[in-house]
Amino acid sequence: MNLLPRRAALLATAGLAIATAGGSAALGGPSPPAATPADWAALAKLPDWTRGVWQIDWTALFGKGGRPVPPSLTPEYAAKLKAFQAGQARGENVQNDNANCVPPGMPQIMQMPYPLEFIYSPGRVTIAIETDSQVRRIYTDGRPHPDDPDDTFNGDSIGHWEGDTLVVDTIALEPHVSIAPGVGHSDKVHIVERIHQTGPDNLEIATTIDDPAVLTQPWTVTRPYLRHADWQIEEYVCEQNNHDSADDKGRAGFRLGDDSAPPAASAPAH
Amino acid sequence: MMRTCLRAAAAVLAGAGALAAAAPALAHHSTAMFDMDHEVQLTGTVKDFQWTQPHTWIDFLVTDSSGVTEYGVEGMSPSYLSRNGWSKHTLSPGDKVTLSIHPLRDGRKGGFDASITWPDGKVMYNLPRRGADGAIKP
Repeated sequence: MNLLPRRAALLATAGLAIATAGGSAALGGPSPPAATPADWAALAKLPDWTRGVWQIDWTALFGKGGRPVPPSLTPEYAAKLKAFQAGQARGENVQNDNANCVPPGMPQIMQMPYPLEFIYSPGRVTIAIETDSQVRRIYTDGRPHPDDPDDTFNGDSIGHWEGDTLVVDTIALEPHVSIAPGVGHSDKVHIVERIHQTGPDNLEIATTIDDPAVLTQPWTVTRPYLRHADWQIEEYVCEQNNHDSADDKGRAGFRLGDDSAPPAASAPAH
Repeated sequence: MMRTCLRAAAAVLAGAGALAAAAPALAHHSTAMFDMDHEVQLTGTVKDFQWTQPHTWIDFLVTDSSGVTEYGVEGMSPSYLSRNGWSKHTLSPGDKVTLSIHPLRDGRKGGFDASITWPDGKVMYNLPRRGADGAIKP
């Protein structure tokens, strides 16, 4: 329906190249041992998060008190944020790359207004995120982070259970990912999420970000999520019919036009 | 049911400013290009209704003395709308309805759908509303 935005197309091409270059070699290190029946049975003791899906509480997200405590920034990043905000006064930095169908990455992917789904399997908690059809794989089998992880949008995540709280440790974010609007990160960024249930259908995620280049102290944002037992995650292919865009200065674009007409017939091959 | 919706809508109006300010995060993009403080009513005919991610889309034809004008109107995503009573069958080509839209700031013929009113008075909301209890319903 619409043309793939150029930046997304470049990313897609880059992804293909990596997949090809990687061949059959596993990128995640040594393969874990086969799961035993006891490993599968142990999953039944985990908190009941796999029933239904969880959506960030919109009243908390958009209503009174929805704005989190702002981060305490180092002078360098405070100046960058000030420049970002000055740009907003000129109509710049009002639209981000998510309008071009580039996922926001961690931590903002966890704070989008669409639901999340938890999936348990031995040694792993998988979070399927409706926004941009993203997936986070949190390895709970005791492995450390890789010595030299690739930078990715959602980072490299390992986790463990402290009672009924899932503690997730994430590093190695793609350089363009913002931890908040106008706030980037360095290669030292480190995110710890503490996820626990606060009621039968209530979940809370406290996200603490540490980055000595960016933050003068760790920054914690706590968000409530509500269970929707009768919902399921729906497909979200952003390139399907996207009319929105952001240019290199973050100015908003909006493509009008009638998409209902079938594509013109291609020229016959000779 | 409709009465309840209208009451909820009335409750929403008081909080509309807060919602408009919150709206940027509602979609996969900000609402900078739309005038979220104002709604414009368009009465016309649906040319096409696209039940697609990341946004639904209505090609809408408005006829007046100067001829036919086509509007492009963005809406919330199918996943959001399907959880709020909409379906791919909510609109069909040829349907005659009134759209209330937040118009494009640049004056082009388009905007973001706030609600749809049918000739029999039925209303369906596209943007989230604040309920009578103050909660914003997902």
